[in-house]
Amino acid sequence: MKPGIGPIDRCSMDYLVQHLLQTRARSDVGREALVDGATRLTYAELERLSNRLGNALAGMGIRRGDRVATFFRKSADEVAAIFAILKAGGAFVPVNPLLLPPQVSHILNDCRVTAVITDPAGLEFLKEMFASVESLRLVLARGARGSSEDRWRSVDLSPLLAEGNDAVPPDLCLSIDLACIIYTSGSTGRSKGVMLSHGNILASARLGSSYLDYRLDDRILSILPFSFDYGLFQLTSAFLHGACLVLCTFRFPGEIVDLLRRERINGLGGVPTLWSLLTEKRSPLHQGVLPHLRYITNSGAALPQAVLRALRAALPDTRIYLMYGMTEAFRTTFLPPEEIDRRPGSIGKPLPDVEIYLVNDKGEPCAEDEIGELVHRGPTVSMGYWGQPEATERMFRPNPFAPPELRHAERVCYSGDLVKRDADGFLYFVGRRDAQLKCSGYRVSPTEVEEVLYETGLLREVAAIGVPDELLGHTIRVFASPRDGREVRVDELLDFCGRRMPRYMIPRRIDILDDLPKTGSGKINYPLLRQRAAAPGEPRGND
Amino acid sequence: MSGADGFDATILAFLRDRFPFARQRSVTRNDSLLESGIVDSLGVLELVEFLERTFGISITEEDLVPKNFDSVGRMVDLVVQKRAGRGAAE
Repeated sequence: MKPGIGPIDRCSMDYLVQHLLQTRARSDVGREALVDGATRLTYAELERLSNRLGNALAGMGIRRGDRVATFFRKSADEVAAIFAILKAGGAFVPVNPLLLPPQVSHILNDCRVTAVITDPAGLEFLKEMFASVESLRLVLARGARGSSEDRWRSVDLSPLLAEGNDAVPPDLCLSIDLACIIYTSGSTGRSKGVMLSHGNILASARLGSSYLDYRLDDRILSILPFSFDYGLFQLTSAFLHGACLVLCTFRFPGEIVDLLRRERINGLGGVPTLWSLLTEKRSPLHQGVLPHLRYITNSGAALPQAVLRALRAALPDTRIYLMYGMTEAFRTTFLPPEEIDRRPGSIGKPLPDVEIYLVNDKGEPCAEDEIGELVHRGPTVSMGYWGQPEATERMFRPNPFAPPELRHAERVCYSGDLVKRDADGFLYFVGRRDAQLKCSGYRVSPTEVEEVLYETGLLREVAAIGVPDELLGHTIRVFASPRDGREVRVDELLDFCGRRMPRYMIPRRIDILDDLPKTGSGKINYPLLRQRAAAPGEPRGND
Repeated sequence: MSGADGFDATILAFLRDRFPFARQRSVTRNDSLLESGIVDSLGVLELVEFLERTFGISITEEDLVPKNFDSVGRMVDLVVQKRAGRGAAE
């Protein structure tokens, strides 16, 4: 981006995401900011690391507006990298570490990244794929050997973090500039990049945490990845309030419970799958006393009532907040703990500084109990989809209820979620307007699954549908017919999927049929396939 | 073929069937599953249910530690030990 004329100084105003860290580093020098296993960093230390790396990135040619991806299993390095990218004037693109090289390649190419910062395992995992990313110039990872490939060169991250220029890099951006792109799936095709401005992220940190009663010295456990909007929100809201973020990767519920106790965690955010794991019959959550755990928050998908009951039984003194939001508008509503019993299944009411419209098919406001599309208005409505003006116009439209003279001034977010409200204005999620699915908290487009299966070249028709699952939200089921009457083995299809897609996208079951059922107009009859999958006695998997 | 070899093959087949990374990296008996990220937290639960169902054992909270699940070999040891314990108790 070409620079214009900017201010002399930020005059203590926090208008960029990195200012959250800078302000804390100045006012609370010795306060703990981040825990990653044995690594403990104060705000001042993290500020120094990100200044060093930010200056180094600028020195290596990262410019204002450049996209830089991060690909990490949870680590303090990722947090330092995110702030360093912002300080160099770039936008960070946090990539879900569960993705496989084909999806990562799509993301890196789609937003034309200049650089990738990763961990040694990530470098090894993605190395061959990098050749497919034309815009890529730099790959930074600890222990990287500094080799030059065709287009990109690798740089060892360790010395860049160990010493360098510790001065705060000059602010290059405004609050309306791009800070981050989060990739997420819609109802069709490959994932799209949701563009978040500095202002969007700061607003979400403020309004999303306003009711959580943060206290200085709070300790927050971070399990969800920063590539997930709520995971990123935990980072920015913790730093807004001067709390300490404790990073956690786990395989066993016991590891989480251990960390909750050992690190005296006050707040924990999760998705339904995590709560199901934590309340599983063998989980030590049931015997544990966790006096410090003041609140937990659920997001990503609706929490099944049975899991909610189990959580309340295991954590009688912990407040439970149910949140609802989507990446495109970052944070939207929450249900306070005291309403959980009175309004089971409710997603609550809008956050402060958020307004919700429910709009029916005629484009009019819904009456009580009438189902309509949820439309979100407020400062967290994102900038739209990177490089996709048409998709952006569909989802982000002028405010239908503003006076005509104002209508062009603002965009509101049409969520695609069907919602109704009760007499007191509390909202209830009913379903999706389109075919988008949620699997283990991740949005999955059925057509993306279908496209991967078509790539085998073995199939004439493919239909992917979602099957509701208590633990996972949805699992994927596929019906397919072979090309040219050839014989197709289910295990060879699953093998192909295993190499091309993350685990949450892989079909739980594939049925091979001679022909897929059609509608009168000759299209695949999805409703009939859904009915068939829901029939009692239908097996869930191929095993 | 000893009994434990049979367990090996059964567990390996399940892993290759359900875990994409296991296919991609042609996992063998002693490869680390947890550190390498082949098996994630949800995967552990699937493995636990599979082992209980297939080998008729009961896995407790104390068994749910990385050392019992980090490789196919470790899981075989757990199954053998559980089945022996059950035999002794009967």
